Amino acid sequence: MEENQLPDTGAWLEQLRATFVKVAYQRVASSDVEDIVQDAMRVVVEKNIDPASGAIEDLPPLAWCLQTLRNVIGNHYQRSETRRRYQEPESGSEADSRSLAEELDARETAGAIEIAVKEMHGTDSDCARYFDRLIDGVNAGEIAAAEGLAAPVLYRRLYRCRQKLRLLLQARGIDL
Amino acid sequence: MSEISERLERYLSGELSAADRVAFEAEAMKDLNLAALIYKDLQVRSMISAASSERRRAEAPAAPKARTGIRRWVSMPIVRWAVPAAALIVVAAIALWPRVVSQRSGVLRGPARHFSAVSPVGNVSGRPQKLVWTPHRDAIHYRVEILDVASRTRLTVIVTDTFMDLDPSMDIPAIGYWKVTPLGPDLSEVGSPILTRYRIAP
Repeated sequence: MEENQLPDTGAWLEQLRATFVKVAYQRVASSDVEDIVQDAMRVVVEKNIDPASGAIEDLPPLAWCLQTLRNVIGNHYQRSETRRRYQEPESGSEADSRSLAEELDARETAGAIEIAVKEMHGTDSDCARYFDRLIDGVNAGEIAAAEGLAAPVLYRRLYRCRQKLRLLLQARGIDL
Repeated sequence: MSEISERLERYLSGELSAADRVAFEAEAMKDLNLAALIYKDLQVRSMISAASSERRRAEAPAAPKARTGIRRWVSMPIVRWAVPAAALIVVAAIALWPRVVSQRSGVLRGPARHFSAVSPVGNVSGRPQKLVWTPHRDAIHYRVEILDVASRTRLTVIVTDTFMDLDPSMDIPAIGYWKVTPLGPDLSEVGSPILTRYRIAP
């Protein structure tokens, strides 16, 4: 098969499943891999995603599928954590507590990004400026134009900046 | 790597042609490292996107409901964002709410790492006077937080060595959660927190 020809959907799904398994093995206990991959594949199939799909929620098909896998892994851990950590005296209140805790966690994660970007202003002002604009909702193309950079140059820089941001977040205990 | 990073950025930005996109995805499905790069990049992008939503929400016009006292203070974006910097917020919280916790000498340490909430738990008949839990074996301090269900805010973050006395002047929500995290001597977490719901009967 030429690389730019579309594989048939069945073969593509098989390849996707194999990719999910490999990625999942790097991130979850091996005993959980099959369940997680199965859940992620079910979402993909229910959404009728195939190699010919256009962008889904602004992501290309494989990226969307990997995002789905990421969400399933996140949900899996959240469920385990909730069962392990939260004491709930009343039936039906677990969802409430999880939702409130998740909302607060999301805010704190967003807060951690803001703090990391502020920290970057002292060490890598270009990256901090790019992130500030991204967080303001400006897209990469617009940032490149504003910075007077060719798009490929900005793309390479953004990639490196995200690696730096990852390290800063990991140093703050954010699980990535 | 620079060529990959540029292709990855263009791929995730939807700027590759259909043929290049198909080729890139086929490559990623054969190369675990490339698939893992996409996965990791999605993680950071997703967090930036969350920060973007949070910034927009913070910058949106304030809700008409007036906030007063502690609630007004905790609703300030800087306070919400400072929470992950736990040490910083702890110092601030202790400075701002000196009356909330009455410190007692001694350290609450239990026999086991498993610890649990004692009171208040579930429906309670009156305003709780104190938050009580079974002590954690490795804890030197505890971080205690009170979460308000109605305003979906974290009202209090405080570090204490003892059970937490609730000052009568403190605004306690009628329905809320309290969360206790066991901390070591350097205020790092030494165990999983417990989160407990309570409701003060009208």
